[in-house]
Amino acid sequence: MNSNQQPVITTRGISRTYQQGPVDVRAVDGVDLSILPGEFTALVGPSGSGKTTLLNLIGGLDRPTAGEVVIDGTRLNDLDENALIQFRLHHIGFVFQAYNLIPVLSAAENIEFIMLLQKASAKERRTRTQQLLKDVGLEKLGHARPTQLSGGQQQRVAVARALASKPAFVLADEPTANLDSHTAESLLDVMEQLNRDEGMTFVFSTHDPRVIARARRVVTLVDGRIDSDEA
Amino acid sequence: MNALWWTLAWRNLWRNKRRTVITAGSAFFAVFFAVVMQSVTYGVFGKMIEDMARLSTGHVQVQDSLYLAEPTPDHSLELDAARLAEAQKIDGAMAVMPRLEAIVLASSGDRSTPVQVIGIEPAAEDSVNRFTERIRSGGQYFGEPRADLPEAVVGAALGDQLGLSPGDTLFTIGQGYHGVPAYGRFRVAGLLELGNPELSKRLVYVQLADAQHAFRMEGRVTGVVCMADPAADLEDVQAELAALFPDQAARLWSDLMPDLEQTLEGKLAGNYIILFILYLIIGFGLFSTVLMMMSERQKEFGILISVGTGRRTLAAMVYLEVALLGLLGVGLGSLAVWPFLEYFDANPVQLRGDLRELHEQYGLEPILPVMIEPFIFFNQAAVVLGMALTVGLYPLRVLKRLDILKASRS
Ligand SMILES: Nc1ncnc2c1ncn2[C@@H]1O[C@H](COP(=O)(O)OP(=O)(O)O)[C@@H](O)[C@H]1O
Ligand SMILES: [Mg+2]
Repeated sequence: MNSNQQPVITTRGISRTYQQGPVDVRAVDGVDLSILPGEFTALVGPSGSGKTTLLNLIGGLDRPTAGEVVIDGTRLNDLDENALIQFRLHHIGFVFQAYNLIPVLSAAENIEFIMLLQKASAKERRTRTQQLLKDVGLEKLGHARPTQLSGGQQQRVAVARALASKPAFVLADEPTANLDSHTAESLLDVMEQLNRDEGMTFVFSTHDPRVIARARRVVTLVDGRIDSDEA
Repeated sequence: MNALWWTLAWRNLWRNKRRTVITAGSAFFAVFFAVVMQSVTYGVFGKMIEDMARLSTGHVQVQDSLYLAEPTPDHSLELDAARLAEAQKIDGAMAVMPRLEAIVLASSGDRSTPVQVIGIEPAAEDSVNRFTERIRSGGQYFGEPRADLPEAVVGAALGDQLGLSPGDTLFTIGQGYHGVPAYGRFRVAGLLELGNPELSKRLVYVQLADAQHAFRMEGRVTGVVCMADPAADLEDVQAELAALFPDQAARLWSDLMPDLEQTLEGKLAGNYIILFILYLIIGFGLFSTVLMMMSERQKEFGILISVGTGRRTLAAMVYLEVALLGLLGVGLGSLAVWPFLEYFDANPVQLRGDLRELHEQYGLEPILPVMIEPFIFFNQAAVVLGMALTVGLYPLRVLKRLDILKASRS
């Protein structure tokens, strides 16, 4: 990877402390992390190690109690709630564990929805939706509702939706957690292909060894700290 | 706004079919019931007022200012033909007619009864009341003027009571101008089917000039009656008449029949209490639906905000859903109630028992008329829709405060 490139994600000493009754839980504890464009990075670690919390902080869904997050040159700490929503819409793609599509909209409409929020033209929405469905291998299932799709297909729609806004990177929190291993592999295939062909940056959390094996960089968290970082 | 928003709102509405049907159904019945209730109330009173106005008081009547308190021939007014012609030109005045009314004792043979004699201009009254079509066969409305006796057209029930047929003679005894006794002798031209029993038992129409002669009131009348256009503003008409007759009083039907107006207002107040309770129930039903809908979809809302849906955009989307839910009920309710009312307008319900007696007491046809006026629909529909739009404010608050991380985890 070209080390001259500007990182698309930078965190400097970020922590997130939760109040749990009388004790403070440091879910994320002083994490410094840089992600360069085009990376395909896995965030791993045992349950409770802070993967979700870290992804939420990077994605601007949560605010650090200390440290700063810089995305694409913008310091997220400086954005208010509404600006943060706009920022997420235009810069970050999200894939969640499961059931994160709008149930009453078809696969194509779910993808189009994001572009509608971005006020893209009807023509652009249509052509891009078709392209994305094709990219994730679902060009024939655009009209299907989420309930008519398998878990793996739903996650592929979620990936397509995440890409719809032309984000700088895609964050995926345990995208394969609810999938059997075969389906998980084929979702990874899709993500890998998008990474390879279009240079899309992916950061995903997982604790599935087979998924970890597909990553090109593996960042391991233990108790909210980076334990190892291997490329 | 893009069609996808409408699609989204519409489909979301049907995620829980049963709940939507029940909620929209309650709005449907609220509108239906409210419109029917108001329509019947306005219909009944509208017809009462219209009947009374046509046959007796008019919508607006110019009287001597003392006549209302003491309706005697002494409190009459001199009829000025020029001013009468002016009055007929007033905007919103459909017909302006002079009348001379008096309560007298009428007799024929050995039978007698108190009646109300009304001196009229036959042609003008006929155009308002279609009397010629209501003459019982064998008789006629006013016939050829004959030198021997002035003519009278008698309410059919009164005619039957006194045993009168066309050609018979009717005698009247009453009080004339300045307290002189007034005797009248009239030849019955025809019997008038007035449709409502009380008036039919009471009214005797004679020509104005004959009444003036009988009561020694040459050139005078007890009132100038104005029938207004249905669309006219009565208070405007009243004001114009008042300006034209500055020395007299121009009174509204509501002043001339205060008890009728009070009864109407009492009935409307009662309706409002029923409607208020009804709306309260519907409002809470709607609110509980919105409450459930919001709590079920926390996770979805959390995800939508996470991926970049603005809270206001989301609020608008949910607001559209609640508005559609309300509109669905209100719209279908208004659509359904229309033909329902049209049917009962064409085939009025015949009243029975107490209600029938009450109507006859007021001198009214014992039917249940309905009034089909846009304002009744709009008022009820607007209230129910307004409720939906108010209830829809609740999700706005929820979405403004929604914690996306908590919501996404739920
Ligand atoms: N909202 C919260 N309130 C309190 N504690 C939390 C909250 N979210 C996460 N935590 C705690 O933070 C730690 C890290 O959680 P998380 O980031 O979800 O880990 P992972 O995704 O690796 O399983 C855990 O100990 C968890 O209990
Ligand atoms: Mg997690």
